[in-house]
Amino acid sequence: MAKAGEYIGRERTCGRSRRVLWSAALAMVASLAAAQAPLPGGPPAGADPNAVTAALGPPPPPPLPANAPPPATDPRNLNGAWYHTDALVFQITTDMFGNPTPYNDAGKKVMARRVKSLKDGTPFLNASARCLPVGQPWQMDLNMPFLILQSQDRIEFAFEEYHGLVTVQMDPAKALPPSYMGRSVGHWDGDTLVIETSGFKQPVWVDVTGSPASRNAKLTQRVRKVKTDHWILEDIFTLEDPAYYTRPWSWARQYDWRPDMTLFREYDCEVQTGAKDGMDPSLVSEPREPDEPNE
Amino acid sequence: MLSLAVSASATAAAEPANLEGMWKIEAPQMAFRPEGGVVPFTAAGRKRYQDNKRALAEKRLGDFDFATARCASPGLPRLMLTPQRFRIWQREGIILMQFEWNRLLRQIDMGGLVSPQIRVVSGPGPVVSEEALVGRSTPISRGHWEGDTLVVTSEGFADNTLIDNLVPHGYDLKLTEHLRLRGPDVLEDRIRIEDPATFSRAWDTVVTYRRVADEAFAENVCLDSLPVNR
Amino acid sequence: MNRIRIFALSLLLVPTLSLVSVAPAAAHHSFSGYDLSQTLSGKATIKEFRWGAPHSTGVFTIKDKDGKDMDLTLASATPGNFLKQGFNPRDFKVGGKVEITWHPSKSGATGGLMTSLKLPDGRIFNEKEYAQATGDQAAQAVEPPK
Repeated sequence: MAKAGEYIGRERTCGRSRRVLWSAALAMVASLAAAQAPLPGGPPAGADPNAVTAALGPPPPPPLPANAPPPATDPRNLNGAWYHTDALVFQITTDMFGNPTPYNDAGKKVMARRVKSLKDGTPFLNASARCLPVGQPWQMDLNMPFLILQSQDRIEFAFEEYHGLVTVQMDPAKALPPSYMGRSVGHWDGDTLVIETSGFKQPVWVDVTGSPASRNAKLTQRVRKVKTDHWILEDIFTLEDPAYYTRPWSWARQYDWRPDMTLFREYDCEVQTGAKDGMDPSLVSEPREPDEPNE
Repeated sequence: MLSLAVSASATAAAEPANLEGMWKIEAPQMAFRPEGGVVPFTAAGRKRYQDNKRALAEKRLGDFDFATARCASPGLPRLMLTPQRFRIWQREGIILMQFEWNRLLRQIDMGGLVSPQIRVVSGPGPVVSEEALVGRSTPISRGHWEGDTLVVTSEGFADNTLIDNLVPHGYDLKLTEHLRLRGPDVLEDRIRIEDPATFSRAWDTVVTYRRVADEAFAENVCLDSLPVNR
Repeated sequence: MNRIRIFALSLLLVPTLSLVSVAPAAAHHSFSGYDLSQTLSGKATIKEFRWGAPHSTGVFTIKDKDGKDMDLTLASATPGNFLKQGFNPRDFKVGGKVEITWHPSKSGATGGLMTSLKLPDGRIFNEKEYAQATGDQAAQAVEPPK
């Protein structure tokens, strides 16, 4: 059977070409449908879990129109709308160099508990499910746009999802109180914005599956505008949390400049989760061990 | 740092008026005061209003006031009654009101943004198509300048919010606001409210805000203030 | 190659390419807590539809086994999913008498994931496919670190 795409370039004559056309089309439809359909018995052993969840995601948007305005020329002006185009990584399994995520024993224990909850069909409640601020870096991973708004003394990141907000104070003397999103202080290192976040009000889920971070975690981001074949915001994350990891570790994300995503959809999750009967009944409270770090 | 502050505020400065800054309502109030003294209800509107009053008296907030009972968005125009602060940002093609209360954001499309806006919830597509089906508590408003007055219209409402603490509205609510500086530190929002199912005619109300120090908001999470057992 | 076949082929391709993406809902919280092997059904009255992203919630009043009214909260798809089947969300009115089917929660708590809703006029909204797509995939993919 011909593979999808093999039709391209062939002559449109009847007979053999017609069979190729149908084969190509059916193969393409089958592969697209398979990407959406449930996998009987789960994915094959050794399958990359993130490849499975990537297939669930929104397709990348088309490129910006040619007449779209570029970002400001000043490298320290990040104002505008940005969007995480790449597939959401449900479970950050390696650092940016391909080394396995350096969970320590406590981190592995938490992950095993959370993975088991998914396989058992008793997934845990977390900030996302409750519509509480989800903390960083989770908020930066979602496939929904955010706006950067800069003023004299601060940089606001306003997110469509969860109507989330991160305020980066550029004057450390004005650092805000501990909060769900942590308390973020920034400074410029040349044209790289360095954001240091600590002071989490509660432990955070680093990713969807539940890589943990304690209240004492420290997250550093190095953010800069970069022109590849289009404008992106490059963000190198470093997480330092001896409670759950054997060493600080880093991963990278890129966000596309998308002025066409400036207007947000509404995300009024509290209309559901704030109701007395609003929490999803399929979710359960996460049990904790008495000796868990920082709980 | 200076250069970025200059280029951002240059956008605001290039517009007929600069409304940027932090604002706070001058006289906190739960209900809009209609010009002329009375809200001109239709019979159906009055009935819903009285049902709401009864529910409030009987402490059944959850029956009609989702903002108070659940921390849902108060929507428009009720957000303009917030007793907390809001920050106005003026950027190319858009004006934003960033509310202290529960981190909510209101967007006013000034035209000129790159189009088409391409998204629906789950992939590419026109941005308004899905929301047009059910409306929003806080539609994307459309704005333009008339002299130094920002004229803002809002349509495409959901029907599960209130005009203020008691007054109901339906899907066909339309708001027209005239925002202008009455002085360097005083912002006025004149709001015209129209909804033929609820009100027998359009009615107007005015809210005034004072400029306050432009200090960042501490994180504001409404859900933390809801009683756990309710 | 005649034009009719090309046209038919394009119809075959287009619906597949516009299938709903479920990652936003699966990322919001796991949908693995619904028992996809069981489907319950019943007559209900619509109490409230809470439309939203990344998914909605329908609250229905049903009769419990003693015949008393009780509320049932079901997760449901976004308004766009309803539109794809020709429904206007405003068709679902408070007080409307409907017939619903749903996957129950594995936790045993009342509630679940809606799979279909039949309106008084007989039209049926079917989201079994959405439920299937959301339900298991992300959960089955995960592995604990070694």
